[in-house]
Amino acid sequence: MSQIDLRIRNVLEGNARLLVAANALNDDSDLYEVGLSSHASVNVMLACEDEFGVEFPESLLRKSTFQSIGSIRRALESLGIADGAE
Amino acid sequence: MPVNELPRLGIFQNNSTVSIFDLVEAASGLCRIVWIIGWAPDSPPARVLSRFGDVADVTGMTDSEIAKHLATFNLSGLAVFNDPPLMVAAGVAEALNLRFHSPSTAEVLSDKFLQRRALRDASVAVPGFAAVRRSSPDADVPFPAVLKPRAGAGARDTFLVRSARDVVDALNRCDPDEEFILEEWLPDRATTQTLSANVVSVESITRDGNVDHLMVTGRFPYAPPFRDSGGFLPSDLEQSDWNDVCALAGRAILAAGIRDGVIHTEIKMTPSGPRVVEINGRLGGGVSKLIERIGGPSLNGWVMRLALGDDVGPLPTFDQSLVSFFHFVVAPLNAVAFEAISGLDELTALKAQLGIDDIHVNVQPGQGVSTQQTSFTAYVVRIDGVVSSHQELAATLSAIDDTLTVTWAYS
Repeated sequence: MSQIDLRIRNVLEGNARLLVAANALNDDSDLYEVGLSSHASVNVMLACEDEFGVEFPESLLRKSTFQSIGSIRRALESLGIADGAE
Repeated sequence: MPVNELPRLGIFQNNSTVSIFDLVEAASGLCRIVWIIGWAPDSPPARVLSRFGDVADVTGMTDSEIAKHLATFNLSGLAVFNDPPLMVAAGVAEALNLRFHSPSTAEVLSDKFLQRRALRDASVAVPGFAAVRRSSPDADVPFPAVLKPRAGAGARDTFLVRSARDVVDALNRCDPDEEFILEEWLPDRATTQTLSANVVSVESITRDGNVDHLMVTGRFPYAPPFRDSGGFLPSDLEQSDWNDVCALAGRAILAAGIRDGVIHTEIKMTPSGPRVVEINGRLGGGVSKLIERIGGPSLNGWVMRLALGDDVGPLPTFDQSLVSFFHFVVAPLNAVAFEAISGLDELTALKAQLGIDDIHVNVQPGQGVSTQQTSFTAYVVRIDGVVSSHQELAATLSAIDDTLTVTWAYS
């Protein structure tokens, strides 16, 4: 698991109010299916911006960006966030 | 066009309306959103909304102060996506000369008693009705009847009452100063339909007083007493019924004095013919997603374009051979908390087979549940999808019921 994934899971744990622990999720688990609300998804977006020091451009301000850990990681990678596997 | 050069659209936003992401997606390339908050107690934080546009915080302002403050934002239009801000938005629109419902129309749309009276005065058939309150509960309305707040939304304080004693008891459980409407209950007509409780909604586009009907959506049977449990598009009405409900919606819209906007009219099919349940001066909840799933445009976007005065052109077309749906699992009336849900993994595995696109669980174990709020915010599970026929939809609903098991804590 990469550092990015770990940090995303920490963000989810603190902001997403999911039915399951963030560490129990797969890369492509649908976060909306495990309780991510529309309002919480916005909080996740803001927390990701704070955690990674980025600002999501308008093209990424969509519900689908925050659908899974994988989609969040891909969005962050498109903004230049990267690191190696742990 | 750079976002700063786009026209500015004021949207009255709170936590019980269309999600921020959905509105931002609909506004993309069309307008810059000015989020108007503070007019209701459940406003999202300005810090959040400021990432998605400008924010006008009107907390503590009078209506005239709100209009004066919003004048500084150089708005080209105003939009609402739920009922509570209709009155304040109409006042602002009049003060700033923006396209919206007039204050008198907004009053008719916000007050069920005034709305019934406007329809009756225009010879639109309505059930018997009367205004009641705790201090004056008597009314000449046949039982059974429905008691609901004049300015309510969702299922808040809504009761099926069978006697004058029931009315008194129900009013004694509510805010002593709130005004209610007591309305003759409309029976279902006999039908061969399998999906609908004979309630449909008509989505209409009104431009300078000209009404076009975009679609007729079927509504699943209410959860007790009158809570939404979802809908499907297109409805399964026969063509002649379809024509009748559209004609009735058109007459009701004009009777309410509506000239512009996307309008949501709920109609019940009764043994005496279709009857207007309610006209809403905004897009129906969940409807934009229904039409998008079968190839139609974002109606959230259409609301914005109409508010900005854009020429939206001819009505959009969409695939009539498909049936899109959303379905709510809501709490039983006497439940007080959600305990657990099982079968989600099994339902997820069946998604492709059942035509399900999205499953959303809205609560956490131990969380209290409300049967007094609209299902659009108080649902426990929401399931969206597309199937190829109404028969297939009935099978999908049956499979959902068979697969999901929810346990509750009861009072």
